[in-house]
Amino acid sequence: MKNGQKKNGTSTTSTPNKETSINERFVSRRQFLYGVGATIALPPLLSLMSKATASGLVTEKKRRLCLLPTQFGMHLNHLVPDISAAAITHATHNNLPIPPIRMAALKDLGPNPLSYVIDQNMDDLRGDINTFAGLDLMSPYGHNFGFFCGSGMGYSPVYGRSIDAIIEDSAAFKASFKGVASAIRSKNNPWTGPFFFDRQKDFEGKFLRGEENAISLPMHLHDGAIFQELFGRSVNPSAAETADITRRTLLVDLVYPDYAKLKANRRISTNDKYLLDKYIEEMHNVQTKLQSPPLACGTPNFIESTNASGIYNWEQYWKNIFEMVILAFSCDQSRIYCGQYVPGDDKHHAADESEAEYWGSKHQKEWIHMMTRHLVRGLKSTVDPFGNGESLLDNTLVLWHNEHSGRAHGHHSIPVMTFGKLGGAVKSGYAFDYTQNTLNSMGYRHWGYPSKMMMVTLLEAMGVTKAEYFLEGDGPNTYGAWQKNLHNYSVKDIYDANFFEAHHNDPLPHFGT
Amino acid sequence: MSIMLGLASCGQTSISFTPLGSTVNEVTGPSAPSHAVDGGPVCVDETSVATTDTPRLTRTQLHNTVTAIFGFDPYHHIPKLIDSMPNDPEVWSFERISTPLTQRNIDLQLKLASGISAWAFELFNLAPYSIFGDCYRRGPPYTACIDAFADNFAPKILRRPMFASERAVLHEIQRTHPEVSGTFGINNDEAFMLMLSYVLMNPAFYMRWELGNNPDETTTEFQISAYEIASRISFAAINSGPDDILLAKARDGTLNDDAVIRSEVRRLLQTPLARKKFRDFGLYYMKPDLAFDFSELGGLGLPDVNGLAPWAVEETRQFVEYLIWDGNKSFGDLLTSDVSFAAHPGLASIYGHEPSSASIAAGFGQPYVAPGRTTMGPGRKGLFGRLPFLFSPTTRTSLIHRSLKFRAQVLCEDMPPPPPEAFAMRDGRAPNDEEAKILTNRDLVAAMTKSASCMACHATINPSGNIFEGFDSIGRVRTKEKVFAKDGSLSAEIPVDSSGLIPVGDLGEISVTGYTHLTQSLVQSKSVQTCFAQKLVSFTTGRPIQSAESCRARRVYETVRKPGATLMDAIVDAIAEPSIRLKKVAR
Repeated sequence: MKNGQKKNGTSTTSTPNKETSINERFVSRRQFLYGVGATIALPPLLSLMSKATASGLVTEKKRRLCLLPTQFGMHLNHLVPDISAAAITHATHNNLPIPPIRMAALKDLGPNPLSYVIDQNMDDLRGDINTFAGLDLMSPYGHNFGFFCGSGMGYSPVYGRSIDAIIEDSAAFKASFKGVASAIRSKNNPWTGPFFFDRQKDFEGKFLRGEENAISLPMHLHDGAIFQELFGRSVNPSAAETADITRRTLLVDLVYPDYAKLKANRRISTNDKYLLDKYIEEMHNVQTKLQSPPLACGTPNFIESTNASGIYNWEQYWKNIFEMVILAFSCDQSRIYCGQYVPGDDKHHAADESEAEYWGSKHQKEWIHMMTRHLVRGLKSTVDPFGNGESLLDNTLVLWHNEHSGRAHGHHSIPVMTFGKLGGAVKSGYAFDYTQNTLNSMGYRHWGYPSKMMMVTLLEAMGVTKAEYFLEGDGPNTYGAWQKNLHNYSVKDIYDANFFEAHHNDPLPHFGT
Repeated sequence: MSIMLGLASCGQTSISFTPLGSTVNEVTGPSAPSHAVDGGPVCVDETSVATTDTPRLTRTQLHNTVTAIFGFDPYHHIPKLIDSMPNDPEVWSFERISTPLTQRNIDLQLKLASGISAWAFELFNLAPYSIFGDCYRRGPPYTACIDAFADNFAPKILRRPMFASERAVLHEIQRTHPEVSGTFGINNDEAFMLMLSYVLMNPAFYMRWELGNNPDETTTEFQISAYEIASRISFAAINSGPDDILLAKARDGTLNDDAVIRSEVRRLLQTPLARKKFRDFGLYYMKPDLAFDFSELGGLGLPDVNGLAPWAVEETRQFVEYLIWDGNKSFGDLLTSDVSFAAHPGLASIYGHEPSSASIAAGFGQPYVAPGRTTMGPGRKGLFGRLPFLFSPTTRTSLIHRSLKFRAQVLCEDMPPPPPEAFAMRDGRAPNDEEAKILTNRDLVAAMTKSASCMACHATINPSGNIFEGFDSIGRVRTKEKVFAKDGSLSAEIPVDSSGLIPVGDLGEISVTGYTHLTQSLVQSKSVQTCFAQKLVSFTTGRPIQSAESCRARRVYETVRKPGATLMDAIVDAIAEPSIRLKKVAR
């Protein structure tokens, strides 16, 4: 469906946006200040920060990414607006004789709904949106869930490393980021635990299941305790917590000589010696963290979402995580968020194969739409303390995509939507159409540009140099998984694969500024 | 990158080996063991030893070890802490010990040490007496009390005696900790918790260091200590640290005797922890994809699949456990036995028999508890005739995937990936929908892979997959294949042909009529026996087998070939072997 025509009798007439009330916590505390930010000297969170943190703030922009893979339920036709009647820019790339890229400004397309996804609930977000058609995954496989983020969480059988991991390891990122968790990762997947941060760096070139790589935080903890686990100590720790922290701190002092002695043993291997060095270094970092005072990011406004038996309110759970992400971004304790929506009632095949199933799981899709908007509005309503009066959303890119294209695990023309400007690195407010051709009669195989080029845009915007992302190589286990001739780009009578061979490691044309 | 030894092209009776770090096949190293003239692994030097780094405890090993030391299951008392540790699983892949632990991992180790201590002292107040002995209750002087802890309890954690420097730390805690100034008891628990936590954070607990007795020697190959031998055989046999008996034999020097080592390995293999470890060997050997998804198989007419997937896995474990322990069976039985334990009605229906007499609820996930044993229906035998290996997620069976798994797992053959042009070539040759709906899967695959370049490998792949065409996608024996049109309607039922000429290593091309016929031939194949030996050695050590361990594989291989030898004998040989006293490191 296009142009926001909703099925099942849902009205398509414009209705007032009632969602701001959902975000009252954000709005009441932050949006007000954002609204008057130009005349108030300090953005709101600065006032909550320690002097040291505040005095350390510089004008350098911090760019952040929020990557939101979903497993189902966002058909391309339900996402992208119909731009056939709009003023369309026919852009070419490198003057090559390929069909042009089509792009239209959303502001020229009339009122919402522009599509089922871009409905009246997005009236206030239209200038922040991009939609994409014609971005293709470069793999013969269809398990695409983690292709932008979360390969360490085990949802990327195709790609060895997703771009969140590449960014974390890049020299520029390491040099500029001094926070606690370079990336926050969450997933509502009950069998591996819902929440992850940190990652092991051992999954190069391999697909490993999430349990092996991602470190889950205990589910029995209250969300507030998760925040403390990540970003600081309890403001008012219990006696048992205090004793535990003291014991852990003392333990590092006590065992350090044993590790040092072991390291001096001439029989250990070179690799073991390296591991010991790293262990000792990280052990001291843990001790430093244990001894440090609570972070002054502000106190999150968590509402209880868990009880002793686990999560009982997923919506609140996700909202709490978003709150944590926004706070962490605000005080530069994290720069990447990877949030993977996995529906509990998994229709992720059926809902993308059949219209009936698609609309049958409408409530799940709309829940995901709502939660995405919630995060976007949270970012939009928060002043970036490191910006120049800009919102966090201005310096962030929220990228939301489906695992499937027009059929289950299809990899041609996956639906992608972005919000934000990534610190001015990318355009916003456009419908991009990179579609180049239709491969066969099956309809879903609209092929266009490699999605890897969008990843490159994001990598470069986040400071990863070409030399660095080139190291990840091309092949089935690399980010983007480019393999010449493995994909239908190589079908000579349709297209010249040399173009993509030459340019697939370039940024996506016209998306960047 | 694979190194193909023997004949280098696809479909030949070659065995491929992959370099260190690969998880595709387990034989690694620049000069991995090749087949001898007799077809088995070549053993040149009985004392050659693998080059290894120091492994961490896997999550399972940590769980088992803590339970054994403290007498309680930490999962029940310190929820999630062990679950949050790196898994480093030993069944599906090998621990990645070359990876540094993160801050989070290390903090979890600290929390586990602190948490176990807190639990022992605060929640279960008898534990301190078993850990520190009577002096915990008597009060000062404390020196003897702490020494008793260092002598008796700490070695269980460290898997060796305490060093003098470590013992001094315990006394230092006593001397400096402010709360130790009073009488022993509640007020001083913090000091004792700190002592216990300190031992639990010792590098000897989380890592399995093997350093021998002389730290100043700089040779890269050396003898490990008796305590380290105890650890080696214990983790290999039961995935847990050495028990008191083993530690005592290390202490009194008797563990230096080969016969003692073998008898200790046999003793350990009779424990529940050994069953818990080796019942997973079948799954490791077949390496199934456990993500069973029946959603696209409705057209086949499914039996009761509710709860089927975990039971199919569990039944495989029960089968292996039965063969090793209760049945005292051989390697041949692993491939050809018709014993089934399927109690789940759906699984029993697939395996062609009535549900076994065992209660579904009884013993699930636990070591073998005498579940009902029954006999499989005709046309199915052994490990590779079970659902976890046979399952395909689509109505057309995964013929190629089954074949690749079979050749990788049973023959240790590593097929190269398809050349880049293969997919386009395949699509170009694919029959159209009308043609496809009257073709068997066998014929369809043959049509798509008939080009000369495809057949370089598919001449081997296709026949090995065809053999399994006698099973449908959920592993039921079938004589006819249901073929479905694109709209899901049944378009044809065509007789299946699962016969063929199968290349099987040393046997060359063998003509078989179907799966059960093939399994009888495989039992006698030296290539199959060699591959099994390599996989068993890998499974016991928890890491890829190296070329230097060819004698170890050879010993298992020879045992497998002996008339009357059991799987248990093979396991003992995989663990207790001459190089067990040696360590080699890379510097």
